[in-house]
Order: sequence, then structure tokens, then C-alpha cells
Amino acid sequence: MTAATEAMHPLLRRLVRKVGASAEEAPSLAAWQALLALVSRTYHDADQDRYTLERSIEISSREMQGLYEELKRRSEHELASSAAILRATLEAANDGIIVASSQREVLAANERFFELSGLPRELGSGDHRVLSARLVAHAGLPPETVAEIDAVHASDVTVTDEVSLPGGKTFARFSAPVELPDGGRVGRVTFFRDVTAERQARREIEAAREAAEAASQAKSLFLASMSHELRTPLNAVIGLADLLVLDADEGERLTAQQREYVEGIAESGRHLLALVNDVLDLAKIEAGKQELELEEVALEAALEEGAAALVPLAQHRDVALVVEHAAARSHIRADRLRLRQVLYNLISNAVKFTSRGGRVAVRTRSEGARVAIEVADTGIGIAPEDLPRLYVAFEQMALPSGDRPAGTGLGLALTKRLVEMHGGTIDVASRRGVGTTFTVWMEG
Amino acid sequence: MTMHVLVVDDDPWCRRIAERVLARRGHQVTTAATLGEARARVRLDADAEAVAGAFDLVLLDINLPGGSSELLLHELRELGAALPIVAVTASAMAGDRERFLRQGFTAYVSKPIDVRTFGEVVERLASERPCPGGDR
Repeated sequence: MTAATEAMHPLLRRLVRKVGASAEEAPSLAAWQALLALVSRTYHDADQDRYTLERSIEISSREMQGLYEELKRRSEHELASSAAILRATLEAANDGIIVASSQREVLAANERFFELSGLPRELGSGDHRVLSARLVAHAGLPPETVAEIDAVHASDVTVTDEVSLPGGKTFARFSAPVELPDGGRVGRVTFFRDVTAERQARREIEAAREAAEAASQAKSLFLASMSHELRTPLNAVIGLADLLVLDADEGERLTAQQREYVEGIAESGRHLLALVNDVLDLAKIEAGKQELELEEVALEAALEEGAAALVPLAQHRDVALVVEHAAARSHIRADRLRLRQVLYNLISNAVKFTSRGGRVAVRTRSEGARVAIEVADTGIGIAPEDLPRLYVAFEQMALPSGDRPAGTGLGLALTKRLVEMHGGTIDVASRRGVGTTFTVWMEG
Repeated sequence: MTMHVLVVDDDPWCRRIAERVLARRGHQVTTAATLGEARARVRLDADAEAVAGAFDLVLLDINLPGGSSELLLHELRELGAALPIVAVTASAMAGDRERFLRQGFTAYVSKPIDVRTFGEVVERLASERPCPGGDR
């Protein structure tokens, strides 16, 4: 190796070989020229590559920038729309709403909150404890309330309660922690609703109800005393008239006319007493004061008992009175005294409206779970046009004789109500000149 | 057996009728119009034996003016007088009967009384034990 080539850069030496010259001796002019051409070409290619690379870097960088801008724009938009939606929601609510972070920073408070609380709007940001203190002071609540509010704020409880302010206002409070989907707590949202008007209305309704109850109580008391006050003189009227007849029976003389008058007094007294009893019963039922004492009542015995009370009247009027028990059930659930009253009213009506030689049958039969108690007579019957007035108080039909019957005119009205109080119904079927059948349907 | 009956009623005609009905059957009748009068008649100041010995039966009207009739019942019962005390009342509201028996009356008779049967009813009640709150 010559000195000339020895000093040559290894890269140059490789290029010299590449153009076909010997590396051991000094290159010829042609070799230099070839070498120069090679270097130029190589440089040109490299320059081309560099340009391409620079261009592509520039393009990528611009795209990245665009993408970044786009993402930024979008997230800003989304954030802004979320904020707008939240704000609109807050403002649309009729409740005062306040949101504070776990770090006790007030994040949002709506206009309604400031309206309800009377606090200035600058408290809509800043320390939640400052806002609480102002709120408590302004509402006139005890100072320890501030600590209570802060304790709730720090906790994860959900609060639903009512706060009555010394000024007379009442607020319903709902307060709940704001939690992230992963369970982290970021703050608390509290709603206040002014329920003063509702509470006032509720109190007024309550007062009205109490007044109505007091009135009903007074009415009930009035009924009780009226019952007492009416019966006391009636007791004297009936008792004295009866005594007069008894004494006359034992030898103290009365003329036939005097005896007739005294018997008239006693009879009218009894009629008046029956009327007082029926009116009071009806009034009690209408006032909802009549209570049933339900028990298992033996049906057949009740029927026999009801009929037995009217045997004297039936015999006096020459009407046959029979009891036929055919119901599958032996007992029904009823108020014994009221059931007796129902039977008495129906049987006495039947006997009264049946002519001499007629027949009144008191029957029971079953139909499914129901029991039918029938009182059937062979009496004068009821004209179809009279049926609608049957259960109307003081509407009385004429007797076969054409007389007004001795009853109070309240019997059927009372009977119907008593049956209905038992959850039962009453039907009537009648044909003029053939007879009438009343059917009381009782649930088993 | 003739009885000595105390009739307590504020209505004069009611007293008169009860008196007459019982007298017709040979019983001796003392009447009282007020609670104070009734107390004096039964000699509440005396001992139980004297009280029980004075009357065989008391017919006590409810709703007496100037004091509750139930008070006299309790006073007599507390004294240990075991004579029959019958509530006679013109009030006839639901549950009255049960209430009177629970309070310790021997029986309950509703006004107006039937002069034909009243005497018998009273005699039957007197022959029964007073047993407060019993079957009657």
C-alpha cells in the first residue's frame, strides 16, 4: 500500500474500488471522474430522501395538530353542553338546589336556592361552610345546625326530612352524595322544596276533619239525649194509661168511653215510642253510628223467634204463620238483635197485609254460598207502580180494610238498611191479589 | 215474699208508676229523686250490714241530675253491700247493656217499663244473686 492510498478514508477507499480503480496506487483522472459522478449521484439520492422525509414529517405534524385541535374543540363543546344542560336543569327545577364538592367547595347553586334562602348570589361559589353559616343565621336556626349540616356533608348518608323555620316556613330537604361510577365520592347535592303551602293545607284539612268529627260527635250525643228525653215522658204516658186500665180491670170503674180513650192514649203512646225508636235507628244508621255485633246466629231458632213474636197478631187476624227451614246452612253471621228486627218488620208487614184465612210463610233456602230468607204472604199484593216507593220512609200502603196501617212507616226503610249493613240485599216479588214475597239475601 | 225496694228516678211520674206497680204486688217502696236523697235513704254513713238490711233491691235511674248514678253503685259496692242494683234507663244506645253489666249493675231494664210485666221482672231479679257483671 502506497502512502497515497494509506492516507485515504476507508469510505473513499471502498468507493475507489467500486469504480474499478486500484486502491494500491493513486487513482487516475478517469477514476476520479467516475468517483465524483458516483458521489454526486449518491448525494442527490440522499437529498431526495431527506426531502421526502421532511415533507412527510411536516404533513404528519400538521395532521396531528389538526387532530389535536379537533379533539380539543370537541371536548370543549361537550363540556360546554354538559355544563349548559346542568345549568338549565338546575334553573328549571322548582326546588332550590346546591351542589358542593367533597372539599366543601360550592360548585353550583340555582337561582331558586337564592330566592328561597334569601342569601346573596356571591355565595354561589366558595366555602360551603360559609354558605351554611349564613343560611343558618338568616333562617334563624340554632347555631349548632351549621355543624350538623357539615357532618351530613362529610358523610355518605341520604337525607329526606323536613325543616321548619322559626319564621313559619317549612322546607322539604333531600340530600344525597354525588358518586362516580367507580364508587368515589365527589360531593353532595341538596334540594330544598318550599312545602309551606302544602303543610298549611294539610293542617287545614286536619282541622276541618276534626271539626267534622266533633260535629258528628255532637250529633251523636244529641241523638242519645233526644232518645232519653223523649222516652222519659213517654214512659209516663204509657205507664199511667196502662195503670189506669189495670186499676179499672180490678174494680175501679171506668165508663166504656173512658176506657176507650185511655186505651187510645196507651196505643198512641206505644206508636209514638215505636216511631221514636225507628227514627233514632235510622238516624244512627245514616250517621254511620250503628254498629253491628256480629255473631253466629242459628237460623231456624231466629226464624222461630221472629215468628213467635207475631203469633198473637196472626191469631188475632186469623192468618196462618208457618216456618220452613230448608237452607243447607244452620247458622249465619249476623247481629242477633238486628236480624230479629228485620224478621219482625217483614213478618208483621206480611201479617198486616194478609186478609183473614190467609197464610204467611217464613222460609229459608240456600243458593250457592248465599242464604235466602223469604217472607211470603197470600195478601193483597203491591201494585207495580208502588214498588219504587216501598223502601221510602213514611210511604205507607193502605191496609185491606182501607185503613192506614199501625206501623211507623219506617219499617221497610229501616229493614233495607239493616240488611245492607250486613252486606246483604233485599228483593220483592208481588202480584196484586195473589201475594207478596220479600227475600233477604245474606252472604254465608 | 214482700220486698223493700228503693226507686231512684228524677222523673216524678216514673217514680210514681214504679211505686204503684210494685205496691200493687204488695211490696214496700221508698223513692228518691236525686243522688243526695238516694244516699240518705240507703244510709251510706252506716255499715254494709245496715245498708244491705235497709233494702232488698235498688232500681237506679241512669242520667240523674247532679251526679252520676254509677257513683252510687260504686259507693254501695265499695261498702260491701251485695244487694241487687238494677239500672233503669231511657237511654237505649248500642252497647249500653254491656256497659251497665260491666260496671257492676245486677241487670238492665230499658224504659219505658211495661206495667204488666215490670213487677214480675223485678221480683225475679231480686231472687237472683247480685253477681256484678253476671249472666243477666
